[in-house]
Parts: sequence; C-alpha cells; structure tokens
Amino acid sequence: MKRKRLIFVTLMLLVSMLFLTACGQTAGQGQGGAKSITIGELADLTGPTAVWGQAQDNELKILVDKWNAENQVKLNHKVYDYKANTQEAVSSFNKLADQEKVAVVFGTNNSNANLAFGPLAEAKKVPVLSHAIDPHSTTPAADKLNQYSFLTVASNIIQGKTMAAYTLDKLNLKKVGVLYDQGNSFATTMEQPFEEYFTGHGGTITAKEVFTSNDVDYSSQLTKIISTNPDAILLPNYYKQIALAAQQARKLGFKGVFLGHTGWPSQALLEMAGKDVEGSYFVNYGSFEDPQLQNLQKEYTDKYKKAPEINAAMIGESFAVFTDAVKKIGADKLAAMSLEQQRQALRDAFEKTRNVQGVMNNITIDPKTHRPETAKMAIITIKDAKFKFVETYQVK
Amino acid sequence: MFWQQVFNGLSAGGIYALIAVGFSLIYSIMRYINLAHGSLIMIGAYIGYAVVTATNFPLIPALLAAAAGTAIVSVIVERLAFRPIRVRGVSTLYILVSSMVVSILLQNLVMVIFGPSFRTLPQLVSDVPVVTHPINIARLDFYMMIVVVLSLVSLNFVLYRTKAGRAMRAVSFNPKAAALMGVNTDRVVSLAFALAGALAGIAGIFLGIKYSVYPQLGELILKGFVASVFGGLGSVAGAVVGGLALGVIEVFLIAYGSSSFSPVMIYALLVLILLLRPRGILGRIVEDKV
Amino acid sequence: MSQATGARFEFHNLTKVFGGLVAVNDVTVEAVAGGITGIIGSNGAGKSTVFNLISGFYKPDAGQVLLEGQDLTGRQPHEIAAAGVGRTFQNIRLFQGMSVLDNVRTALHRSLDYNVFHALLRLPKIRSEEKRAEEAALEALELVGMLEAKELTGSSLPYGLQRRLEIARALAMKPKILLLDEPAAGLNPGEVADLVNLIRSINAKLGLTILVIEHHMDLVASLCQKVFAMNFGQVIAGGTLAEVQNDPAVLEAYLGKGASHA
Repeated sequence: MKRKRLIFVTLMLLVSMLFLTACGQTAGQGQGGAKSITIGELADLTGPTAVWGQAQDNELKILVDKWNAENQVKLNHKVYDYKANTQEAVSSFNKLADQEKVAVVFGTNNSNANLAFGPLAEAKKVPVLSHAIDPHSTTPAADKLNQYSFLTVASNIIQGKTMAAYTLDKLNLKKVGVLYDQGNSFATTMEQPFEEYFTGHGGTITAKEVFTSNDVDYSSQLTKIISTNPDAILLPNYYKQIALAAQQARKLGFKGVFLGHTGWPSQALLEMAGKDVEGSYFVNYGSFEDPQLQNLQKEYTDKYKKAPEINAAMIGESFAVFTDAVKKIGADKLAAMSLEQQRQALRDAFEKTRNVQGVMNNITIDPKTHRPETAKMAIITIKDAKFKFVETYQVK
Repeated sequence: MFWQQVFNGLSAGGIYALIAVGFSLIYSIMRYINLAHGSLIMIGAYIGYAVVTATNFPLIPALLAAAAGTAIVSVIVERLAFRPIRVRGVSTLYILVSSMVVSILLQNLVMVIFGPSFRTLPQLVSDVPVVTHPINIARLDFYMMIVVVLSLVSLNFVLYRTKAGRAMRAVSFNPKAAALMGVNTDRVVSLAFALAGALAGIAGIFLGIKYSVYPQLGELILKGFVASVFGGLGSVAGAVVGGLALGVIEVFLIAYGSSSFSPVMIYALLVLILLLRPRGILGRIVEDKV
Repeated sequence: MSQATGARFEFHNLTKVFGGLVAVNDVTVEAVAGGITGIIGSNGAGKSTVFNLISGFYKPDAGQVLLEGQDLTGRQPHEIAAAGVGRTFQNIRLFQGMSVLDNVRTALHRSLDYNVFHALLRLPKIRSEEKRAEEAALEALELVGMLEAKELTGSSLPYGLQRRLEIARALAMKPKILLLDEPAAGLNPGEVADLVNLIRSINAKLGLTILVIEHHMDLVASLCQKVFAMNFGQVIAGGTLAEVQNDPAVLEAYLGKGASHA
C-alpha cells in the first residue's frame, strides 16, 4: 500500500512539473533583453465556447507577432484559459494582475465573466479591453461607470437599435412580437433598446413573452404571440433556444420572419432548425463575406489552416484601440514607466479613443460610457440553410 | 386561442405524465426516489438518436429500440447501484445518493461518447400538421399523444390484469408478505425498473425529437417530478393526472396570466397543494414503515 | 391430496446470533405430521425469530430446516414458500390497497404459467390462466368462509377477517405446512373462538401440518397435540401441554426461582 502511494505521489509530482514547465515556456515568450510591455489575455480556450476563445487567442497571437516584428518595444503576451467559467475568470484575472503584472487585460467575450472581474479591475486599477456584449460591463448601473473597463465592439444597445432600425426601414416590418429569456442579460439588454427604438420610430411590439433558461417548450408563449399577428418575431437568445422557438412557432403555423442578434451565428442552429429559420435576419459584428475582413481571414487561414470565427475580428478591434493608445503615449515612454504608471496611462488613453480604424469599424469610445455609441453592423440572413451576408448597416 | 392552448398544455402534460409515471412506479414499489430517472430519459434519447442515424429506422421501430435499450440500462442500474444497498437494508437515503451519483455518471459517460454538443434527430415525422383549423395540431404532437396514451394503457394492463402487475403491487404494499407468496421480489423489482426504463426511453425519444438531444436533457425530469408529487407520489394514476394538470396549468398561467410570473406561480401552487393535501391529488397516505 | 397424511416437518439445532446476542440457541423441534404443534414462550423468547429463520427472512448461523426430508436451510423466502411453507404474521401483513380476491390471487403467482412476453403478445392464454387463478383463489376464500368479502379492499376489513384473509392467502399456495405466528393476537374472545374452529377445520379437511406460536393458552390447549416451550432462545421443554406446564424448567422460567419447590 505504502509503495503504491509513493508511486502515486511521484507521478503527481512529475505531472505537475510537466505542467509548470509548459506554463513557463508560454510565459517566457517574447521576453528578450529589449524593453517590453506585458499584456494579458483571458480566453475561453476550453469549455463549451472554446471555438470562440481559440479564435480570439489565435488572432491575438498573429497581431502580437506582427507588432513584435515591426517595433523595438516588444509585447510580452500572457494568456490564461478561464474555461468560460466565471469563477475561473476571476482567479485568472487576479493571476494576470498580481503575478504576471500585466499592463492591460484583453477579453472576454463572456459578459458574465466581465461583470464578475469588473470590480477587481477597479480595485487593482488594471485597464480591460473587452468585446463582451452587455453594456453593464462598463456601466454596471445607470449612474456608475467602471473607470478601468472598456468595450471595443458594439454593445447590445447598438445591436438592439440596429436591428430595430433595419426591421423598420429596410425590411418594412412594423409589427413585431418578442420572445426571450428573462433571466439572461444577453437577451434582456438587447430587447430593451430594440423595443425603445422600434416603438419610438413607428413600430408596434404586439406581444412580449418571456421564458426561463431551462425551459424548452415555448408553445404557450408562441401561441399568444402568434395570436397578435406579428410580421416578425424577435428571438434575441442562444442558438438552442432560437432553434426550439423557431421550430415550435412554425408548428403553430407562424409564417413570418424571425429576427435576432449575435446569438444566432452558429452552425448548430442551422443543423437543428435550418428550414425553420429560413429567411430570418439578424445583426452580427461583422461577416467574413464582407470584403473588409478578407485580409484578416486570409492571414488567419494561412496560419491555422482553418476558417476564423468572428471573435478573431473582435479581438482585432481591441488590439487596434490598444496600439493607438500605445502610439499616442509613445511605446518607449510607456515601456519605461512603472507598472502602475503604465496601467494608468493606458486607461487614460483608451478613454480618449477617437476615430481609430479597427478591423470592422471606425472606433470612437464615449468617455461617459467607455464603449462605442455607434457602430456599423453586418446584417445576415439565412438562405438555403446557410448564413448569407446582406450588407453592413449603421443606425443614424 | 383557448383550444390551441388546451392542446399545448395536454401535449406538454403528456410528456410530464410519461416521466412522472416512471418515477412513481419506482417510488410506489421501492419507496425511494430514483434521481437517475432523468438520465435514463437522456439515455433513451441518445439510443434513439444512435439507432435512427445508424439504421434510418422509422419512428415506431426507433421507439421500440429506445424503449428496450433504456429498459436494459435501467435494470442494470438497479442491479449495480441500488440492489446492493437495498439488500443490506440500510436507509433509502443511501439509494438516493447512489441514484444521484449514477445520474452524473451516465451524463458524463454520454458526454465522453457523444460529446457535449446538441444533436438533432433526423426528421422522423412529417412537418405537415394533422389539422390547421380551428387549431393547429402538429403531427409529432399528435403521434406523441397517441403513444403516450398507448403506453399508459399498456402499463395499466400489466399492473392490473397480469400476475406480474399483481406481484408488483403486492411488493409495493408488503415485500415480505409478497416473498412468502412465492413472489421473487428481486425479479419484480427488475421488472419495475424495466417498465420505468421503457417509459423513460419513450419519453426520451420524444423529448429528443422535440427539444434536441444533449447530455443535460435529463434535467427536464424536474417537471416530471413535480407532476408526480402534484398527482400523489407513488400513485400511477396520480402521476398521469398530475402530469396533464401541470401541463395545462402551466400553459394557462402563461396564456392568461403572465409568462414572467408563471414559473413562480407554478411552484407556489405546488407548495399550496402540498400544504392543503400532502398526499397530492390522488396519492395514498404514505405510511411510515417500522 | 398429498397432504392427507400430513407432511413431516422438523428443524434441528437452529441458531441465530444478532451482534453477539444469541436470539435462537440450538433449537430443535419436530412437528406432528398432519397435526398441530405449538411453540409457547414469553415475549423475546425467540419464537418469531424461529419462524423468520424457517421462512428465510434470516439466514441461520447453524442448524437445518427439513420439510419431508428436503433441506430448506438458507434459501430465499420465495423459494421456501414455493417449496410448501406457508405462513402468517403476528402483525398482519396484507396487501392493504388490493382487493381480497387479488390478495389471494397473488399467492398463486408461482402456479400461473405465463410471463411478461405472453402478457404482451398472447392474450387468450392469460385469460385462461387468470381464470384458473381466480377459481383457486375463490376456493381458498371459501375454505375460510370469506367468499362474500372478495371485492372489498384488505384494509377495510375488521381485524378478525384480515387474519382469516391472511390464512386464506397462505392456503391458496397449497402449502405442505402452515406456520401461524400468534394468530389470536389482537382478536376479541368471540373472534378467538371462531379462529380455533377455523384452524381445526382446516387441519381436519386438508390434513395439513400446522405449527403455531401463541401466548394464548386457551388456544394452545384446544388445538395443539404437542407443545414446545422456549425461553431466552432455547427450548426448555417439549411434550403435551400438561407435561410442559408442569415441567420444572418451565415453572421456574414463568414463575421465578423456587416456584418449582412450592
């Protein structure tokens, strides 16, 4: 018995040493004799949304490598996998801030994770550039601004407004019913601005119904919505909920259009309900069918031999904001600063982001909300059970 | 809209009933709650999925395969995880814990074999509704209700018209006396688990078609459990009544109340029923064994 | 009927220890074939444990149970029941929610020749087999005079009838021996008298070997040809009731030390 335990302990030690060495190697990348700035990244490299996290991390590596090839001051890139888990995100954030001593944190796409470490960023005075969707990540309450958190892509407010405007002006649909998960801010923070804009510009919300996250049958809600004869039903949800709602609505005889936002672009949605969501419209941050993104797509595909997810373009926006700030401060000057000074200088520069050309958008960050107040969005439709880019569209 | 909502309620309630009956069957005989029942439903959905994708079986053979496969898994679960505890005669609390562990185990097993992603069954039932006027009845829901009724009628036949059913009921009232009547209680327990498993398989394949197949599908069992408590835990007829009642009440709370309050209301109603009538709608008073 | 002569039933040196406590210690009893044998003793003397050892709910630590020379020791309860050992319980164990008829029909479980697959596929066979079961059940109910009550549920019956139903249920299995565990417990004097008549008539009609545990000395006196007295898990005397009642060991156990000298 004793011997067995000894072997076990030895094995565990060996395994953990392997781990440590592996980590040490990644952490060592980019460290040379030259002056450098340490940047941190939180990515969901494993877990249910791993495809997104991997795309984000892959693209950031390309961008960092490019920067390091072109500049004297090197970027020292540290990445932590938060496994799409909120607790993991908090502890990873702490490690980046305290142990890795990063000047800035990139990430995440996960609103709940951002909401969780937002207060830590305030306390530790570490600026965060994220591409999450929930506007609460920068403004947790109406009168409160997180001084160190920034969004670089369209928040749900823009998405809601964009979809509402497009529905009215381009699709010419005036009557919309809504079905969404009342417990998920991913849905609620899109529904609200959609409704405000839509009803404020001559549209009518014929019915507004909700469900809870674990529900799978929405027939009753849909029956109620359909009985109000809407032209379209807005489904600002996750793909599985969208698929089920679309299937059930069709079974109940609904013939109109479905509308949505960034929960839609998923191959699984097409597999589950391709036929039922045919002819739907939704907004997304961008589309690889958009000529503007061809360059990124090519670089990415060349390096990784697979197509990127839109998250690659999203991290591109954050990186553009970051490089703009570094250039304004001056890379040499920034590298010479103490860690606290670096963090503060970057934060102040991020707040002054004006007309910075990103991968998809010309980014201006509103100092009052720490996020863009307008953005060009891609409008996507579903045709022949495939996603199809229609055009880019910007709310006036 | 009224009748459409009634149909929506019965259609959801039929599935709740199927889940609740399996639950109640085990509870009435064994006096313990099998928390792995949800995972068995999930296994049923995956068996259905695997069979249909591999063989292109139509609905009926797929249903039979899922029912048979899940029945076997259910019997094996009882043999390996519950029987040793039961034979030792310790508290049923251990069985409760064991069933929870089995549930997690099955979920993870499926996760390893099939991965965590959502699977869609090939279309087994045509999209063309049975009728569209005055209410819209989807073909799948229509078939599902027929199968639910047939399953429940067959279960009733087995329980009340055959010696196996009589033996099961006898064991549920008094296992020792049943053993003295020459009833092999172990075999009766296996049979009960097989029946509950078959029902779980049928429920699973319909849930899979309606809501897609994924490892957490079994979590839907919560509603079935509520339905069985609603109708009276341990009463098979109560489970059916409870399931249908839950489905219809839920739908009407949404249709004529508000969808945002219906989840709260339904559970408040359950608490109220348990306060006023602890044995549920049709349950028998659960006597404590000495 | 094979019971006409009465089955030989005996157990030798039965011993059962529960966690260091010897509940049954080296007990040997030979029942009167075709007659009625009594086991008497105070509460906790180990009488019921002996029955539970015979019917397989406990496994004996030592000893042997023999029915017509066939060794039943250590088998499962349902196997022992199938081998021909019927019994009733001190605290009645009916299938409370089931009808009187169904209670008795359950006892015919073993003799019905069909299984689940038949049930699902061959309906006519079930019908004929179930009819046979019903007839046999009615026969057993007639034996205890309960034909009229066949549709009532078990739990709705008065205590005396519940006892009878339990006996009918045991008889429906056509046992070779019948174990009655304190059959008079909880009955009023009128019911006890009826019960005595019933047991006697069953014994006479079927020639069934009967083993009865009882406190009730009237019942033992009017029924049993042979009596064994138990105390602290041991048989302390055996013989006719008169012999046992006058046995010094019994007097001492019942009346305390010195009583035998009085």
